[in-house]
Amino acid sequence: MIKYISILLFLLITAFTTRESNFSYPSSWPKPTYDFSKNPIEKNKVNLGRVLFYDPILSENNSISCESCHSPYSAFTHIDHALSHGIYDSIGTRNSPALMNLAWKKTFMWDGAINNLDMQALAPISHPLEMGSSIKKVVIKLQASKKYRQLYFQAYGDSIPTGEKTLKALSQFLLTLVSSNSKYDKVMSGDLQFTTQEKNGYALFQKNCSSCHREPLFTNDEFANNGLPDNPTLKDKGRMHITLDSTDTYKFKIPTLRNIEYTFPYMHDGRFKKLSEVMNHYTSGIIQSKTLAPELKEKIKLTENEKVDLISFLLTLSDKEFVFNSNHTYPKEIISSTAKD
Amino acid sequence: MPASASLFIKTFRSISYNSIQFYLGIDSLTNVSGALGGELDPTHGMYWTWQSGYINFKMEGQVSRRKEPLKEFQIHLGGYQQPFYSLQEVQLNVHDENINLELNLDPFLQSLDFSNVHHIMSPSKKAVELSEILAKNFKVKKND
Ligand code: HEC
Ligand code: HEC
Repeated sequence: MIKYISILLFLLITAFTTRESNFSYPSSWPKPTYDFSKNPIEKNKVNLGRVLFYDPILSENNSISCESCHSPYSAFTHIDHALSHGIYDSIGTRNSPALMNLAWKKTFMWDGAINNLDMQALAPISHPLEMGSSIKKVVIKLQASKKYRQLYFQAYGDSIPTGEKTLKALSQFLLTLVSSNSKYDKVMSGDLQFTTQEKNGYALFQKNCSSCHREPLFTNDEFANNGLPDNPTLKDKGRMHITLDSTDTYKFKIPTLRNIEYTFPYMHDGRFKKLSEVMNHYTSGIIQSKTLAPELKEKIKLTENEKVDLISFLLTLSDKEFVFNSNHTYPKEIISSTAKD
Repeated sequence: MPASASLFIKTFRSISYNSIQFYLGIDSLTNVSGALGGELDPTHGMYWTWQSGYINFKMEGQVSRRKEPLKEFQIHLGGYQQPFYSLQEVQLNVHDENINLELNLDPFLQSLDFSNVHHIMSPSKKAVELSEILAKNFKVKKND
């Protein structure tokens, strides 16, 4: 009996430490929402997901990869594009969001259309303006590839790609995109200090912004109408398209503000290029409507100096270690050591 | 997709039963459980891509009304969240061991308005209504 207990304990301890060592995050953060028990992080699965993320094989004519719209050097958003740019030079209808701290999200996309990170990749793979293919076609291509048969074998002990394995491997890579090393984080842990200007900005942020852009993730993962005027060419009603509930009209997912310095242009349609334009929106651009968030009904007052202070605080959310993390970039080292097709 | 589908279900001889019960569709917990394999692998085409959720029932084809040219139609029923939860439970009494289960599609087709609607591809009130009609039109027939 004792023996069994000790074996069990040993298993429990190893399970715990693997999870902790392979998916680490600051101890002051909330628990992730992603169910790691269904898809425990393992190095070879993360590697497979990373290779898939950078491979245009996921698109119909092998021209577009996930990275085409989510570049590591801009915290995984689309460099310089307001609306995403997909297959056959198509222009999509929304701005590609930055990808980070995805393990803490309950829903994905600007309207919350996707209910689990695993299912996210199906959307761009199948979208005629994005990658124009289907998971079935992709899996058939992967099954025919020596390189992928080897990578699936290393990850799953079975060389045959399936939809499930492909989606879970992509999730594994996406889950590792944790950004938690900004100046803000170092100030919170006591290793650095804010300048006076940043400190003023932080106070203004806590007063006016943090109910929605909640610390430490800088989003509460809810939907809100932050008073943007309707874009007449896109006519995007946001969350309402999913719930068909008119009280959700113009509500969009509250985005994180981490790495905001790198993720311009801003908002679901990329309408603002600069943070100063965002400040002017919150102080003087808010459109009153039935679904406008209650905390924005009353005008936010900021002097020009206060706007500058608030922006200087937002810039403390930049995480260079994240943006230049070589574990996140094109997986040259993995590809060069796998079979060639 | 096959033009007609037959599914054989074997039961144990030693067990006798007088009713069968099954779900038409995928329950909401399974719908939020991430990527699944086997029959539930999204490569089978029974999963929506632009919005998460399994497709519980799919019928696609062409219709022609009053000598008008043929028109494509696609009916995809699903929805795992209220108020458009479309999963249906079917319960049937059986009196024989060797039975055929038949789904009469006539009432379903009659309730589609092909003069206006050729595509139902997302959770909605109509999708729930159509799912209820399907569930009511299973019949147990003696196999001879
Ligand atoms: C053509 C550009 C394009 C491609 C290619 C693309 N994406 Fe996206 N991605 C977007 C856009 C645009 C959105 C937001 C769409 C929306 O909200 O409707 C998005 C949203 C996401 C999100 C949700 C983020 C959030 O915070 O809600 C994830 C995760 C994601 N993409 C991962 C991927 C993966 C993995 C791939 C490759 C399989 C991929 N993307 C390929 C443009 C693209
Ligand atoms: C009521 C909730 C709410 C409050 C309060 C709020 N925001 Fe937002 N914020 C949002 C939503 C929702 C969006 C996305 C809107 C869209 O794209 O349609 C957003 C978007 C942004 C963006 C663009 C992010 C990106 O990646 O595109 C910035 C920057 C931003 N907010 C800064 C602020 C600042 C600074 C404040 C305080 C002055 C603030 N927000 C207050 C809800 C809020």
